[in-house]
Formats: sequence, C-alpha cells, structure tokens
Amino acid sequence: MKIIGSYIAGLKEALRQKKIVTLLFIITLLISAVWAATFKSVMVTALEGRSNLYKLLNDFDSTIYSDLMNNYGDLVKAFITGMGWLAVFYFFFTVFFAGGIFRLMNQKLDRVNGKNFFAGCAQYFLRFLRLGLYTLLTQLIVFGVIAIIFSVATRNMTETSTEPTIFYTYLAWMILHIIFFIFITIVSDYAKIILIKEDSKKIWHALWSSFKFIIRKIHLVYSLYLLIIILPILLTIFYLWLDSVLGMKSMLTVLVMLIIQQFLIWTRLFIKVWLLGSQFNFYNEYYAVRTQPMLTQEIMMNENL
Amino acid sequence: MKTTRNFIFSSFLFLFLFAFGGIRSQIIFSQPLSPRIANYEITVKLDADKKMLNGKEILRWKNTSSDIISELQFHLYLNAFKNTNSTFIKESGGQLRGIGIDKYDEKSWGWIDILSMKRKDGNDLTKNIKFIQTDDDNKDDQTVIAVALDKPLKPKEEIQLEINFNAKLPKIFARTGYADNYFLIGQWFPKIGVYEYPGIRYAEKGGWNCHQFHANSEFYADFAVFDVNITVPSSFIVGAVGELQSKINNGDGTATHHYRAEDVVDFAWTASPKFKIVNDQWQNVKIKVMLQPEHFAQADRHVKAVKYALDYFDKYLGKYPYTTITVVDPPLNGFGSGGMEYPTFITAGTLWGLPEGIKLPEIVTIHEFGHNYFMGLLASNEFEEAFLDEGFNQYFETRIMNFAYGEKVSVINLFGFKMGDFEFTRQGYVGMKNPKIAEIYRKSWEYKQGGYGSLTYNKTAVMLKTLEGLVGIETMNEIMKTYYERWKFKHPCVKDFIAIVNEVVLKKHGRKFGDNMDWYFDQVLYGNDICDYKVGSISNQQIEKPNGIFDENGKKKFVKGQEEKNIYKSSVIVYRSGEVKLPVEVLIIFSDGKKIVENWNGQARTYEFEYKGKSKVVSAQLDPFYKIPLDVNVINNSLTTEPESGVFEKYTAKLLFWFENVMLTASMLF
Repeated sequence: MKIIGSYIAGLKEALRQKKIVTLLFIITLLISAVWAATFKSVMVTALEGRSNLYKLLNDFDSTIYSDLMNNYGDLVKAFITGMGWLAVFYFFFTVFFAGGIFRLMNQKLDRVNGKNFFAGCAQYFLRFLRLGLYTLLTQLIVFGVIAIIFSVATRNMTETSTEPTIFYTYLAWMILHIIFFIFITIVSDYAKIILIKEDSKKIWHALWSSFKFIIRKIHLVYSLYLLIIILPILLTIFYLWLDSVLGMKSMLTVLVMLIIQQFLIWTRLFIKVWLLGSQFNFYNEYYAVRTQPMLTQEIMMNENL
Repeated sequence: MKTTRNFIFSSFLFLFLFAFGGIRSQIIFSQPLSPRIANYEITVKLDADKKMLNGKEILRWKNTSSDIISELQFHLYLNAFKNTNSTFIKESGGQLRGIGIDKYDEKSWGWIDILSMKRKDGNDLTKNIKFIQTDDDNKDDQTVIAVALDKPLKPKEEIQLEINFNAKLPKIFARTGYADNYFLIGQWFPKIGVYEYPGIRYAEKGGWNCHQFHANSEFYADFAVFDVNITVPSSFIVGAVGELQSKINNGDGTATHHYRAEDVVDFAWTASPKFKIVNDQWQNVKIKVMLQPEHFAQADRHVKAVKYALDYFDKYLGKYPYTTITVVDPPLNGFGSGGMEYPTFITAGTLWGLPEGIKLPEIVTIHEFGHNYFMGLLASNEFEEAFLDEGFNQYFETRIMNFAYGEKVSVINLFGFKMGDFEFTRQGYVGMKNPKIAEIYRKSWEYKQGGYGSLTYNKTAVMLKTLEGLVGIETMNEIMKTYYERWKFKHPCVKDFIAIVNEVVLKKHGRKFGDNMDWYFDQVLYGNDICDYKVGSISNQQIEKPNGIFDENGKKKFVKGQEEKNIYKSSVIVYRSGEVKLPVEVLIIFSDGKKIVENWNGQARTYEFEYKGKSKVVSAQLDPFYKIPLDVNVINNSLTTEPESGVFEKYTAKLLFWFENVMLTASMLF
C-alpha cells in the first residue's frame, strides 16, 4: 500500500509542477528543433526537387534510402555527430533542473515558484553534477565488469552449447545489465533526495546511505520504479503502432504525428517528475516511520520533564 | 561371439568388395552427359576422434588433347590449412567472412599427404611428386603438386593411378573441416587439374590450368564420375554429392556409405550423428535436407526455397539434369561451412528462432543451388573469371528471390524495414567506398586492395540486370538459355558469353545497339568506370516576340516585342556525370499532364531537351523505368519544379522525435 500511496503522491507532485514540466519540454524542444531545422535546411538545399525522394514519403524504399546515404550520407553523419554533442549539453541541463524540481518538492510551497525553482537549480547544480558523474562512472565500471565476467564465462559457449542455450544466456546477460543499470539509477535518484533532505554536500555519503536504504527496501523501491517506467514503454509501443497505422504519408498526417510525438515527449518528462515525486514521497514516508518511535520517546521524555 | 562373427563377415565383405573393383554401382545416366575426362573411385575412412581421413583413390584420366603429356598436376587443397605460410591463409588473413582460424590451437590446422602414387602397371611415381606454385612465388604453398610421368601420355591415351593419402581435417572456418562431431568434407582428395588446349577458353597451346587454393576461389575441374565409399561411425548420418547406392553396416561400429555421381566436377560429403533428415521431391529430383535439430522447424523454408530454385532455373535457364539435391544445414559452431556449393550438394545456414521476415536460409539455399548451374554444369574457371560463376549466379538469385518472396521484401520484411534481394545486391556495389577500385574482369586473387565480393558478385549481377533493362527480359532470357544450352558440360569463358549476347541481340533487335554489344562490356566488365546520369535543370520561359530595329522595305523600324501569352520555351538539361555511356530514357512531364519519353544516347556530357508550347515542363525523370541500376545515384535522376511538401518534414519530425528521446533517455541517469 505504501508504494501506491507514493505513486499517487508522485502524480500529484508532477501535476503541481506541470509548468516546470512544460518549461523542460520547451527547452528540450528548442534544443532539438534548432538541430532539426538546420538539418532540414541543409537537406532541402541539397535535394529539393529531387522527386525520387518522395517515394520515401509513402513507404520505405531501400534503393532510395541507400542512394541517399551513399551520396549524401556525409551530411547526415555530420548531424549525427552534432546530435551527440547536443546530448552532452542536455545532460548539464537536466542536472541543473533536477535541483529545482527537488527543491520545490522539499519545500512544498503552495505555488510553484520560478524563483524558488531556479534557486534550487543553482543551489544543487554542483552537487548533482558530481553525483551524476560518479553515477556515470559507476555505470561504466559495472557494465565493464559484467561484460568481462560474461565473456570469460561464455568463452567456449558456441563450441559446446545449443543455439537456444546461447540465446537465453545472452538474454540473461542483457537482463542482468538492465537490472544493474536500474539499480544504479535508483541509487543516484535517492542519493539526490538524501542530499536535499540533509542539505548535505557529501556525495559519497549520500550514495552510501541511498545504497543502504535501497538494499533494505529493494522490493518496494524496484516495484515503484517499474510501476512508473512501464508507462513510457507502453507509450512507445502505442506510438509505434500509431505510426504503422496512421503513417506519415501526407503533410496532414506528418503534422498530426508531429503533435503526437511532442505530446509523448511532454508525457515522458511528466513521468520523470512523477517518478522523482514518488521516490521523494516514498523516502519521506520511510523516514517518518523510522523516526516515529524516537519522536514518541522524545515527547514522553519532555512530558516527564 | 556374435560380435566376432559379424566382424569376420563384414571384414570379408569389405575386402571382397574393394579387392574386386569396388561395390557395383548403378549407372545413373544411360548416356554420358559430359566428356568424363577424369574418373575417380575413392574409398575413404573417417576417424571421427582424430579428425583424420584415410583414403585410397583410383583415378582414370584421359588425354583428350593432341599433346604428348609428360606431367600431371593435382590440387591438394587441404594443405591450404596447414600453416600460416599457405597462400590461402596469407590472402585471407586467416579469416573468412568474419570467422577466423585459431592459429595457436594445433587442432585448428589441417593437411593432406600423399602416401603413394602408382600407375596401374605398378610403376611408382611417388618420388616424382613436387609442390609447385602456379600463381605466386610463395614456395611454402603446398596446394598444388606436379607429378612427372615415367612414360609420357599420348593423345587419346588414358592413365590409371592409384593414390593413397592421409588427411587431417581443420576446424571449420572456411567451409571445410570439423566442428565437434559435425564434418563437412570438401576439397579433400587429390584432384587433378584441367589440361587446357586450343579450343578451351583462352588456350593457345596445351597446358595445365591448376591454380593454388586462394582465399576467393577454389573451383575449376573437369567433368567426372565419382564412385566413393565413405566409412564412418555407424551412428553418423551421411550426405554426399550424387546418389546413395548402398549402406553397409560393417559390424565394427562403422558403416560404409556408397555414393555415385556422374558428370560432376567435384565431390564433397558430410557426416554427423545429429542431423534430422527431411525428404521431398520435385519432378524426378529427390530433395534431401539435413538439418540441425534446433533448426527442424525451418525445414519447410529450405524445401520451398529449393523448389523455387529448381522451378525457376528449369524455366529460365535449363533443365537440372541430376536426380538429387542435398541441402546441409550446419551447426552454429560449424557456421563457417555454411553457404557452400558442390554439385548436387550444398550447404545453407540459419539460426534458431530466425523470423520469417529475414530470409537468410532461403537466400543462401537459392544462391548455393544456383552454383549447380554456373560452377557445376557450365563449369567456368572460378579462379580466373569468378564473376561467371558468382556474379551470374547472384543475378539469378535476385530474380528467383524477388519472384518467390516479393520484389521489395525478399531479403527483409520486418518491423516496417523492407529490402529486396536486388536492392541488397545493388547496394553492395553502389555503396562501395570506391566503386572504381577494380574492374570485374580480373583474376580472383588479384583484388589486392579489396573489392572482390562487391565487384564479382554484386556489380556483375547489376551489370546483367542493366543488360536486361537495355535489351529486354525476353532477349535476356534467350541469351541465358542459349549460353546454358551451348556451353553446359564445357568450360566457357566470358568471350563465349559475349558472343552469345551479340548474336541474340542482333537477332532480336537488329542494329539498334550497334554492330555488337562489345561497347557495353568494354565499359562495365573490362572497365572500372561508374555510371551516373543526372537531371541538371528545368527551365520554363515565356517566349518574347523579337525586339529592336528591323529592316522593312528599306527602312529601319523599331519593334517593341511583347511576351507571347502562355507560350513557353521549356528546357531540360541532363548531365552524364559518370564516364560510362549508355542509352537512357528521359520521362518529361508537362503541366497539362502530358508525358513524353525521350531517348538519349547518353554520349555527351550534357544534353538539352527543348520544348515550345502552352504547357510548362514540371518534371523530368532519367531512367524512369529503372532499366539502368548501374547508375550509382538514382536520386539525382529526378527533378521537379513543383516540389511536394512532406518528405523533408516527415524525416525531420522523425529525427526530432528520436533525438528528443535519446536526450531524455540519457537524462534518466540523473
């Protein structure tokens, strides 16, 4: 029941911060749109009027696609590289905004206040940045360790095992990666909450406390995470289905799909804030339960005095 | 007791059968289909634990030339896997199609030794054997031997040799060898080379054509009859080239499988206790598919593919003369033996759980089956003109795949991603970093800087498809049928093929393409230039009446011209950006919907089509019916003055969306 309560509390928090979600969405859209508009402009300059390209509007045509990539692929590659750099830039943005989102959660102000939000962004930026880098580093190390162990363990597997065994082994390996990836991500999320709650700058301490907390409540923490993460997965499946049904075969359907796409992006951001709100609430609830006997004891002591 | 009795009986039977000229074979063809220059009787025993072969070969070889021959040459191809100094390993870098040999594992290597070689009269030639290198100066390569004869062989004379040999099989990485207890035994016995003389291919005088084993090629042999007794552990299931004549259980834990193949150029076999067998039939051809247990669910995919291939080749090239076709499906650890061809015996390749939308077993089965015609029945020289086998086969593969599984979806049709076999093949050529790296016509081991696969398989198939586009499918079918009918069981070279092209095109089209089609092959077969036509520009201008001073009745008169209302001078300029010159069609579409197909000879660097009329030109399309897939860029073949909106917006929106998702996914960490 505790996770359902946190789930609902997180939803309320996300709804309360819907303006912040919208702000994040606009920034995300702007960064992407600048890149996409430049891409479009370059492609139009190079290829406008080349009517064979229109075959790609109605359906996928591998001849047209491959000739496009063979002859104009360098342009596309340049933009893909640009996309990588923008993603790095965006990482700093999200680290920056995480502080604001948590500050608003922590202070429980009646009105979501831009001033408080940006104050939180600035206040926690360096702490969250360090936390983010440590998290990234941990992800890489854990990924590498699992990969090495797996490659040693399965060294002669193709010589001795059947194909289904190999398939399921690789599947298990992938699932293991996902489990650890989620675990580290959750540790990082709760570490942020601890940094906020304790107004601490001790990143390692926060990570260690978060780790201990999650180990104690691992079934609930994972359940809460999966309950929320399932939503974007379902939305992605819905989008892919809609794309296959509706297609983007005319300017009208392109526009309709563009709106749906952007709504899905807004929803993903909303769900992220929802997740953080639920986690924040869950930690608070746990903290309240843990500290309640002490408080009762303190009251009794005061009464005795 | 029973075991001893069985052993004595089977040993007696074994000795009796081999001592008296081998097990009697049933003749397959009442009349020979081929010259049958080399004929083999082989008994071979597989030691499945030691991965060894012990064999005895009786070879009868006819001197069909008018030369006196004093030396014979043989392939000993298992020596390609003997050490890192072989030409094969040097050329391939010890890997083939991404699967490499483990150089540090003794078990990985293979070899073949000739223990003795004697003439029928008992004269021992063993000491006359020496390794020779016919293609390079790699003295360490032991894949070809020369044997000096004690007595020269006169014209029309036949020699009979008895050859005893031992061979160690390599771990599979390049089609042959073993993987656990799966064996694919190819290129395993001493195989005599081809003695070419005037009248065969390019020969101006008699001489041996016996190439070393190269990374890219391995086939060129004379037609033969093979009578082969294969002894393996009795739990093993065996498949081989030709027809199974009998199987005898020897009572000592082994069984002997007797195979006979007539009018074929090679012999290979497989053995494993794990095979699951599916038998089927197409007309009088027995189809046998030897599957790995985990691939059994895909049996029907293999059978259907073989039937499609048999049907299509029968209809568009010629009759499949043999009575059997065996398809071997290798295990994952023997995947290196997949995708290989021998007469009436091919290896495919698939993976457990492979979706129907990925036509891997189908494409491999159809491709390898096609080699029965080009490598097997036409038997061109794969070393020197690999494209006559691989490329011609690739062309047919694309035709069959597209016919059987759909034009744009015959390779992949999964999650909205679609690709047809011809598109896949063409991409292999036009997607090359440097399509000019070499010409198609080149010896297979002379692609030092790469490009063998793309040019030999892909460009050749595209070249033939373009020829089909130029002369039409009916003419192309007649060319291919004539080529097959005239040259089956011989050894054609590409000049023979071009001669048929010239003959059939002249018959069907007169001099539409000139006196002959040599100009085409000179550019795309013997040359390495690329083909790229482009629509440069479209312009439409209102026509003005003349302006200025004009003489009229001896007087100067000023005329102020005006634009003629709604009369346009339209112009379409096309470019030849590549060097290859081909006749090309241009579709012109006008604003009133009128369409004109122009024929341009494609010779000049630029050419202008001009029109005058009430409607503007709105669109021009070079090669509108996609007859010239050799053109490396089809996008610039089109131009319109009225761009449709949507396509750029569609892909920009898609990219925007996925980019946002990438960023959000990355931000989930924090």
